[in-house]
Amino acid sequence: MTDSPTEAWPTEAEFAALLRQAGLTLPVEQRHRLHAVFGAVQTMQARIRAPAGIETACAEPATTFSAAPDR
Amino acid sequence: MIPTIAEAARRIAARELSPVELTQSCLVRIHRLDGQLHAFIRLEEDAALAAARAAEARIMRDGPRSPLDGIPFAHKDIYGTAGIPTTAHSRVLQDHVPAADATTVRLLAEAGVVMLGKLATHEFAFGGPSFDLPWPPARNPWNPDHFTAGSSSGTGAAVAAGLILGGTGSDTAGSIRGPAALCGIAGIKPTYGLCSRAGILPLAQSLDHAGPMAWTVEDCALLLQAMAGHDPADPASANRPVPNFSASLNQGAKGLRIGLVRHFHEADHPVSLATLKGINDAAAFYAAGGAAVRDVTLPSLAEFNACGWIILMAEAFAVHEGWMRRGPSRYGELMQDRLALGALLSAADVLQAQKRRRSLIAATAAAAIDCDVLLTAAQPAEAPRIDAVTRYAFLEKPNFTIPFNVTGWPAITVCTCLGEGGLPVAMQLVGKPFAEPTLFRAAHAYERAMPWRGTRPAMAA
Repeated sequence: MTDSPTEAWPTEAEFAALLRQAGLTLPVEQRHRLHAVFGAVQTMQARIRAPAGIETACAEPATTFSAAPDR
Repeated sequence: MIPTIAEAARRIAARELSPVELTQSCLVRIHRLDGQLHAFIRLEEDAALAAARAAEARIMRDGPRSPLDGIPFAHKDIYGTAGIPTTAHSRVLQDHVPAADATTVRLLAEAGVVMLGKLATHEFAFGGPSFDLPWPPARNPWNPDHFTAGSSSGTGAAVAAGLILGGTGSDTAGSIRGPAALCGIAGIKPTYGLCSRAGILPLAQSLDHAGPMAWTVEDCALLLQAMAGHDPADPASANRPVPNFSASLNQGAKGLRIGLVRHFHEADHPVSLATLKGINDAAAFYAAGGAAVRDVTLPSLAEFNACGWIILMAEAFAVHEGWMRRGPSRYGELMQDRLALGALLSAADVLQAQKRRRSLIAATAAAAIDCDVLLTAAQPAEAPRIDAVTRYAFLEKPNFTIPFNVTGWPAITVCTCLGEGGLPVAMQLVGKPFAEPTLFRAAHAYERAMPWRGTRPAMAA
């Protein structure tokens, strides 16, 4: 995924390839519709990424696995 | 006059109100109004009358099992009901008949509710409002041209119109609190882990919450009392004692510490005038009643929404991946679109979101350290026309509810007045984890002091 939602990525063809890679074959009209709003998803993808650094790189996700039966 | 659950319970216990007559009065309203509202997708009239007769006989013999004994009720159609179709309002599960009740369905039945049927939802609690499903979307009883919000849309409409006295909802990004706000009722998303999700069709398991919706805060407390409790069948279920949710209801606002998350509804996503006035009036009410009210700054709505929606879309696609790959056209178009966006997320996206989730929870806890309750909006404005709801609304503007699915903190919606077009507006109160008694106390103090519970939608009068 791109770091910046302002870049013109993916193109329509690349977007179709992404959908195929995800196992989805969608009609052209639906693909166009989704491609048009994908920028909003890219904005979210960028927003959840903290600035690079040792602390953020090593931060635990909220779903950290525990073998303890009560967690 | 449509009674609240608390009023009906008192009269039933005093043998002044018959559960059979109460159920019949709801059925009469359903037959009169649901052709416009589409709140029910399945009515179980004969079974409901049989259950009401059994409740009446039981109460006459032994007294009520609980304040819910003989109370007309219905379930959102993602709650599994043994022997009764549970469709998620979708063609995909149109013929799905669970073998067992969801845990919360069983608990409510044991408390004595009279189950009238299954209620409309957005498709799988995600895709809606949709007009290409086997059943139409629910309509808002305050004006049927307007949206209920979703996804517990049928529950919101049915409670507001008095078709039932209470019902179940589920909340992954606001699906209890949104319809409660736009339909002018009360709805609580409890702390994550307080109510079992076992037997409820999932949307996104790490964000899904089960909870009640009713006309008043007091009724929500009564319903939550029956729904809450540890369930080994739900791996996220909290193993801790269930408090008495009604015990603190009448302690008033004095001494409460309220954090006003002003930037959510004034800067991050400015709300309508009536919504803002309701929140400001509520803050003034609390201050006048002896609460300490101060501004609190949380991470931005956009940050919470990015984190929550990435997790939601990814988890939802994981639930639906098999069906989506085999035959996406069995879903409504809107559901297909939303699921397809989840298919495009990477594993790194999901884990980055889960890292961000942990930091957002820590930031919220730090900001609210000396608060009992947070106060902000539940919805940005009065209900829009149902034909004006945009397909990708959740991507366009951040919502006010998903932050507390991300944190798992309990949150309740309370009506604050009627706004433009006579449509309700609401506030959202948020409590600390497992501090529902304090949340109910704050919400009830405001609600009982205001006149809004005396006005039902005109069609239900």
